Amino acid sequence: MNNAALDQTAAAQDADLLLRYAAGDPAAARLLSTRLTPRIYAHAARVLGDRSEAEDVTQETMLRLWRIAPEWRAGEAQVSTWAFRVVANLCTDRLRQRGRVSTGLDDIDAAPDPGPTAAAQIQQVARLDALQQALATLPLRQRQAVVLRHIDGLPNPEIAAILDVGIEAVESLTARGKRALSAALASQKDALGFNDETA
Amino acid sequence: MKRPDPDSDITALEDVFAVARAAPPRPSDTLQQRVLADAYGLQPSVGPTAGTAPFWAALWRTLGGAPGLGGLATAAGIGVWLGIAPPAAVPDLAGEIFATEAALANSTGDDILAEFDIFGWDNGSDEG
Repeated sequence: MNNAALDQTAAAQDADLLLRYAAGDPAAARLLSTRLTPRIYAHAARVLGDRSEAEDVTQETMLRLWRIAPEWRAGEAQVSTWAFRVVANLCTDRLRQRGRVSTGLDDIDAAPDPGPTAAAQIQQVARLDALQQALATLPLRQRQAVVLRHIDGLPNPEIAAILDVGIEAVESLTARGKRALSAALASQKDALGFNDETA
Repeated sequence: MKRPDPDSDITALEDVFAVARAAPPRPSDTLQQRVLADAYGLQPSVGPTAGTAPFWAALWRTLGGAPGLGGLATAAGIGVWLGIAPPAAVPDLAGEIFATEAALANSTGDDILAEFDIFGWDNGSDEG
């Protein structure tokens, strides 16, 4: 089964769970929360760079989902797209309210990869920190587009729906964002161990 | 002097993206519990069998269940009692109706016809 088919299956399962939730099935609430909350939180944490704020906007996003569940009409939108759109807007509001860009690196609990050695884990954390710092220097829309495309792994049409822009605009945002990130990370390549690998 | 290598920079960036995808920020247990608490608090109260409930179950719910039917039964009982033994200030309508019917039941046909005299009609028994 290819990625598109998997995405469609996942979307159908999300929609089914939301309808079951609206019908009073308590297990559906737990299952849908388990599927969506980590993805929404991870996106918010990457964009906001602050765990506490990411938790707040995640809870608010899910709250709005529970509220809209009885009026949800299957087939009109994907549940995950709807949720990403809400969290993207809430992140925009948060960043505008605070009027500054926070890196908040120490606040993010990244899931450690159990595979690497201790030295590799340290390097991994350093790379994540560098990425977070570099993301924080991007204009908001570029940051959101890059996170949605290259970290959340969403396709461009879905990102276009989330950010309410055209697909060409998404391509432009991600391309500019990648160039800016690449330039920001270039000065740290030695410290991050990239030259060791590419030599 | 070492010149920047755009391809190498992009490769490094892709590596960082891969690390980020493999190690996403994880929501705390507290957040998961808060989200679930919201979900259960806002979940519509209709059960999974809603829409297929039997007629009597639907009627029972429509009338308000045990409290609703209790009130209905009490009101009906009071109504019957007032009809049988009304307070002095209330006209004994039921008594009047039953008494009239009893009078009709005990009377003969002539008695009934005699009562029509008051309307000016002749009693057939006076002819001849």
